Amino acid sequence: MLRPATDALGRIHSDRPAASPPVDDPDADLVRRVGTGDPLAVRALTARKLPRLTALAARVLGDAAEAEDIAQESLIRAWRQAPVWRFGEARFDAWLHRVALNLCRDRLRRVRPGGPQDLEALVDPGPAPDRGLEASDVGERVAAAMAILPARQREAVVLCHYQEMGNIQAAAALGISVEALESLLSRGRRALRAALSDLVT
Amino acid sequence: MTPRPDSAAAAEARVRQLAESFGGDPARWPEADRPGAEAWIAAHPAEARRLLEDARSLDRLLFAWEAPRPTAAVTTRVQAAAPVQVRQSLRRSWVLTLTGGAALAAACLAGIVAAPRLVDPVLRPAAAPFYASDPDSILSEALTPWEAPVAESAMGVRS
Repeated sequence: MLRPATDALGRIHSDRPAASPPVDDPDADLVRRVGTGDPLAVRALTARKLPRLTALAARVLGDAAEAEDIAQESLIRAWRQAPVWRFGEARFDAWLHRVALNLCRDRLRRVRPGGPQDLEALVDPGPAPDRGLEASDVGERVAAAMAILPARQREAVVLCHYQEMGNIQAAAALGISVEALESLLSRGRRALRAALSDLVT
Repeated sequence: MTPRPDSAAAAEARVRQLAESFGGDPARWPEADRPGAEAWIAAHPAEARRLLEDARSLDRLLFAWEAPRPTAAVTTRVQAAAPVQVRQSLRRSWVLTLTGGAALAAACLAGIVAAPRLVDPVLRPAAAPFYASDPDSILSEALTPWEAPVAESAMGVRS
């Protein structure tokens, strides 16, 4: 008798492609109401998404002012999208993250054509060795370490660690497979550990 | 020491990979991996604690980087933009629907008008003497090559 293949953790792998079920979207109701012009829904979706998008862009770009522009532009695109959104095909949050990431990439290409090397030069490498390390210093060290990661690794760490997205949603936002996402995360965290080795206890 | 079964070693390797990629909190691991990983963690508490604590030390550091909060000004600008953007999007979608429908209707109408002209030359050649002939003459024309030998043989004519 043929049995489905399972891996080390007992996950079942099937050769048969599964029909994709409609996507369960926690934002669906709000998006539907925004699409009808409901001002309360606009306020609620802003409260839910603007901080997330600002944080995302700030961590990808390393610049708070630019992050605000990106977050604003992303939500303006969300208002345009809401009336014509095709429910059940994708999560609105993943789409919104994809929009914000694309805007960040455009911004990085335009402002910093040299890529990560240029970004590294913009970041303070950390406190002088004779100074004690305070909490804000640790944050700055982390920011500096994140800034020198290759862009895709940085985006993967930001989505999964800071934005708390699941692997499927993060992979969708980056337009890659879940396996590729896991590889990016693993390499990114390894590089961060190396860069922050004096702080990791 | 009892050798560990291969599946347990494979499960440990997978848990290590998950911690290295997704951090030390199993609640943040991919859903599909969680039941198997949690079973291995429950069965090997000491090894699991060591492995997860190593990943958590990096998690704690990463959380020390705080993100900026959006300002009140940007919140106001974003909300103020919504009514216009939603209205424009709705108008654009209506226009697209209407023009799409109109284009389809025009295409159908054009098809109805043009179809006879397009089909006629194919089905009916310009000069059609063959079709215009009466059936008897068509039959006699077709049989002419065969009639002579048959008739001669039937009448006993010798060459």
